[in-house]
Amino acid sequence: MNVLHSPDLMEKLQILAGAAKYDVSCASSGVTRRNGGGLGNAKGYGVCHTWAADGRCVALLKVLFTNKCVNDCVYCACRAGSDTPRASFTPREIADLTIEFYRRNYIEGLFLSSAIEKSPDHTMENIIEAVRLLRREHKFFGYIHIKAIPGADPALITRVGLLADRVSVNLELPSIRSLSLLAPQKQMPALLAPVRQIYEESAVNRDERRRFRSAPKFVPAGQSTQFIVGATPDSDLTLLKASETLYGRFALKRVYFSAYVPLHDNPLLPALSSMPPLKREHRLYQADWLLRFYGFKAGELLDDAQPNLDTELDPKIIWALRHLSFFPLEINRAPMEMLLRVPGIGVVSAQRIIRQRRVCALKYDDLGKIGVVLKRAKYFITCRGVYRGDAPLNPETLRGRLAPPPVVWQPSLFDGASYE
Amino acid sequence: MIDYLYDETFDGLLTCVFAHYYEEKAAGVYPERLYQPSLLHGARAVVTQPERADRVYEALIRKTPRLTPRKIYYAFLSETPRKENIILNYVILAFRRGPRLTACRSLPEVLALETASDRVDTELGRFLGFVRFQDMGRFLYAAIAPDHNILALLADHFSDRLAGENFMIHDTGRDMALIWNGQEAFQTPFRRAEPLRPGEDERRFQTLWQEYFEHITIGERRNPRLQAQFTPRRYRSRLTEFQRPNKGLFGNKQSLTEYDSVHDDIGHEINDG
Repeated sequence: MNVLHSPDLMEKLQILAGAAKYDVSCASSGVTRRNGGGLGNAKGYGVCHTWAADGRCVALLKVLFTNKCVNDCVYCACRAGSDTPRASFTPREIADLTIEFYRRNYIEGLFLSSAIEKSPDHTMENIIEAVRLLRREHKFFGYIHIKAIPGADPALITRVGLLADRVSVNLELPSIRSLSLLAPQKQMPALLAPVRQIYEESAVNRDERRRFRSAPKFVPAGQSTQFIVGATPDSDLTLLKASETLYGRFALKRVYFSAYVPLHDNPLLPALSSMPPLKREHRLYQADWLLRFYGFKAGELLDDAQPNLDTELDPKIIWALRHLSFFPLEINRAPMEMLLRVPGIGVVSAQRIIRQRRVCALKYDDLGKIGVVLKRAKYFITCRGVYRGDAPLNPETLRGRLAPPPVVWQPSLFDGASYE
Repeated sequence: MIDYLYDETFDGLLTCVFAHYYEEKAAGVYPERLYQPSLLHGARAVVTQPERADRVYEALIRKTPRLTPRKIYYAFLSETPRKENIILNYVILAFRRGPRLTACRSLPEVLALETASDRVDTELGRFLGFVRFQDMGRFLYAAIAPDHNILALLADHFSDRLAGENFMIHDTGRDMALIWNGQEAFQTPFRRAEPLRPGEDERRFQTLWQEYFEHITIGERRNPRLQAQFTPRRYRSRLTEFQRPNKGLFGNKQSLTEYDSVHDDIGHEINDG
């Protein structure tokens, strides 16, 4: 515990947590593991421990190993050319701090990423040492998420994959053009190499574990990635197509989207004064949910004529308005995959509908109790033949009904605003 | 028809259910401590008999869907008003309908019980994250004040996770403590007038955690309303990260003028656990 008494630990934590905060991933899910004679366990559904003032959950101690970087990616807070304060942890500091936070139930585990100090291999070896200390010396059975450093020796990625639960690579930008513009030292093939490696080794590992139960697990919680939204002109269609490919081709568990927060002035980037595109990020996540849980394809939600998501209405409503010929659907007969397409019906309420109607046909009044959001669903369904949408089924009228009311600007008593 | 009065234990409640079937039909079940005599029915205090309670519970396991017994127990741990009658009505229906019961969430008996058990489930999920231990030297101590009586449900999770430690989780509202001594977990009445005073080392880790919590926030995305949805204010007095000293007159409360209405309904997706 001695290393935790060093006087500059507080400052390191401030700098390296502050530098890690733009990594969105917070999941602690995907692995269920009991305590095997040390400290900690893991819950498959994940546990959130608190929520920061920006409303994002805190489940893991999320820090960079170092923010000293040889790369000069234009969008990044740690880029070589920035005059931000720099710091590095030692592997033992990371391991011991994780243990002390974990014992107090502050966190579910560790999320360790890093800037590239000296070389990818050097950085990766430091990360592996921190994780090795946790797993072997502290006998830590909690959750560990590691960012693989692109360009590191594949053997190092294999080693970290056997110690961590999730290993991921942030692709950050969805097109080669944007990448070469903003991150000239990064190459798409080099970024994708570890993604492919993790995918292939996981498949081999699954096969091994089928034959030898005792074979060690490789990246049991799978891999994820993240894209920056709004730093480049890439469209939502490009982002969703890229996500779809990653889910299909490399079996990713999650693609995260991170609304770009302007950190410095550069002609290649949005102005410093611009707000992070939170609404757009929100719509992308909604569309991502539709891809993963609702059976939608990216091509159904967007096309070249309409490459960006509507900010006013959610993508499921937009799809429904464009396909009104499918509606209204009879709740007591529609198959699962069509129930999932109704705005206001989610996975849980669709399952409840299917289960309950096996026993007896649903009545309209049952729907609210089951969890259907009738405010939206009523325009798209009938129940025992009853239709309760109070408007004709055409896109213009329904858009008016479903759109949020316009925001009324309210003068504040305190701001001294004037009517200019 | 008769009102049964019980001793506020789960076994006591199930003994009343037994009496409903083998003695006299129940009009309702009430805690003996709080009962106000009814004009309509007589009342009888039921002596808890664990073997009768076991018979009811085992019948539930045999005859009803897999999750039903747990839902009933969770509903019992909730602070829902008149939960005993909700459970009684549900059990009667469960024995009548058997395996087809859970399909019918829209039946009033089922909806009432599932709402109560869902509340306990939700709060349990929250408290797997919200328990904050302090290292007192010889053991870890956590004070919690949950809405529902979830203390017993925390035992399995924390005794596995912190198997090598000794700990006490103290429900300050109910004056109960869950204790793990490295071998077994048990509940005991516990009361303490003064808060425990942590040592210097412990305070240092609390400060490190508070600093971490502060620095992980993206200032440009500040959204206290979203934060309050997930960490309701009533829980915050027990959460270390919300106890920062010297944070001005209003502590961590942000006035609503700082809040940008654009953020209103967004951001949930980031929190996938």
